[in-house]
Amino acid sequence: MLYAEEVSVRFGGLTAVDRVSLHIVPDEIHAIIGPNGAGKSTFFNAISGINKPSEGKITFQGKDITGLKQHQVAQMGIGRTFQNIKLFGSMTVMENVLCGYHQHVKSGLVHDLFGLPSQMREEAELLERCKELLARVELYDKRMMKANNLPYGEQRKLEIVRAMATGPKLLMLDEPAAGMNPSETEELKQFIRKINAEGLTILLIEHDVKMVMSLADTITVLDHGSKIAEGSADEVKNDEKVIEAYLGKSYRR
Amino acid sequence: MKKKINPRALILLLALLALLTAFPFCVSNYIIQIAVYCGIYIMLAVSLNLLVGYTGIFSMGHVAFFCIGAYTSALLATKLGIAFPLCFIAGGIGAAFIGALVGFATLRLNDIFLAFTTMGLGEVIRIIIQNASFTNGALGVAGIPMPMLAGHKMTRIEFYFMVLILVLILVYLVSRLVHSNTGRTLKMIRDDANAASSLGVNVFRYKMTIMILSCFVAGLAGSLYATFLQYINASNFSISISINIIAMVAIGGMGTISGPIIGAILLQVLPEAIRFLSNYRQLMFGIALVISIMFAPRGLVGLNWKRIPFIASVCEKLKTNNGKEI
Ligand SMILES: Nc1ncnc2c1ncn2[C@@H]1O[C@H](COP(=O)(O)OP(=O)(O)OP(=O)(O)O)[C@@H](O)[C@H]1O
Ligand SMILES: [Mg+2]
Repeated sequence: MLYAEEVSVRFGGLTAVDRVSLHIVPDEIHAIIGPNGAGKSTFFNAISGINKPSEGKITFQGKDITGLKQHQVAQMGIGRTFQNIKLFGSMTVMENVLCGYHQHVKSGLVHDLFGLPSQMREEAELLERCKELLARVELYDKRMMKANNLPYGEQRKLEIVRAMATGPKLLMLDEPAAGMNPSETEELKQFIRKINAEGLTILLIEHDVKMVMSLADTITVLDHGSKIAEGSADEVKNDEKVIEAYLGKSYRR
Repeated sequence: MKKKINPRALILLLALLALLTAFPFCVSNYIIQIAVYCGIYIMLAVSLNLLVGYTGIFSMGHVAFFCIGAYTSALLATKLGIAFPLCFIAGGIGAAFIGALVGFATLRLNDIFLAFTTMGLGEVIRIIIQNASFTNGALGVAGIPMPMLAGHKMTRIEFYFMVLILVLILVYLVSRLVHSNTGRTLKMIRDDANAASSLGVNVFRYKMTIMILSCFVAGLAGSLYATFLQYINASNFSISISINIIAMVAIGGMGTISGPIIGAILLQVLPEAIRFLSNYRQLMFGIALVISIMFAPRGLVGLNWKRIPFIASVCEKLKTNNGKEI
């Protein structure tokens, strides 16, 4: 589904991502792990168009997306969340999700200025779809709350739901469990499983190793910008280099 | 989802309209003049609010587009004898065109750079106009004719009504816009441009669109101003006007419909009411701006008026079945 070939990202002299190749298969949950500063987020940003790769090529569903702008990548069907939550703070939960539908709205400026019937109809339909989605993810009762007033765990969830509203084929989550308590993490795990089972391919960065091991079909390990291992949870767990660089001895067997 | 209109709110609205209609017949020419300026400044504040309040584009050069609109309209009317409606539209288009150029140059900058660059470009535009020969340089443009209406020159009262109607149309369209998908997209950009991009929003395109629209309205206001004043001069369009418009938006309430309207009326009428302080006008605008930022960061509209019992009870009466259920 997504192929990254020898992707490098440099910031001046610093090589944050060093010739990383990666292949994401449809319908899988693919995790990227690695120590702080390993280049995980930078790699995400290279895919989603925030940092242009200095070298390498990224293709998504057979199309070259290397160096596309952020909104173009999003329009190709790649949704994402951010390591530090980026909700629209002035808006309610519902409005945040409405924003996710942006690219499916057909009414343009003129429709919006004059409130033409087609625009009114479209807006009403959008509201319905949005309510349906909110009900499905159990945020319906909180739809009128300011997004920033949600409990932390639900802010993370809302950010995921907002990205889901764009109708992505691939959803990239940057440390969705960061800062969550164990019960929130467990809930999130179930949630990710559920949306994956409904047909969303997921690329996940996460430091919660337990969660990654139980969720991911494939795990890629980065260290100092390079890929040091890749495989199933069991394979990665027993890889000497991974234990050395990231997991520590306690994870062996 | 059908919006019900509250009968009480409707009555209030009609009463307000009646007042605005009857008012010019009861007051002096001088007051009508102030009312027309209020209308022009409402247009400026509402258009700047689209940038500053709804999209988070801190333009400090709004006066330049007001100026371009005024000059375009004035020169077409005096040098080529073109009729007012065309001059009016041309004023808007001229400002929108230059707005597009300025936008192209500045809209990728972030806040503080954008603020200074737009301010600088605004000043450059004014200086060019002040020194160019086709604009009559420092002499300004005189003898701008009043619009014709049914074979006679418009009276001040008629001009007032024209401005009133234009302001009502503008406010209606803008309130439509900000409650639509376009408006939501602007707010996304204001809250977090990166998140907006990640949802497929072409941030630069939206910023350009709203810049052009906002400058178009500022240009229309400029045309009205030139026509009503019948004489313009580049010194009418100094940076301090930009700052006044910003003060109107900030004091009234950024990112709201009524805020810039209230701000514009307040800052236009108050200085007239306390004319003996007129030498300190600019100083008072500054102080008002600082006070409002300190004590009412969301502007007058954002204050909790319902703490005052009378207002709370009025709101209660107006609100019944006016609250939109979503
Ligand atoms: N915009 C930037 N400019 C310069 N250096 C950067 C930039 N972004 C990231 N880096 C550097 O690139 C390296 C990789 O950072 P990155 O954020 O990708 O790490 P990460 O694996 O996501 O870490 P964490 O687990 O802490 O989120 C770090 O050394 C970081 O300092
Ligand atoms: Mg990171």
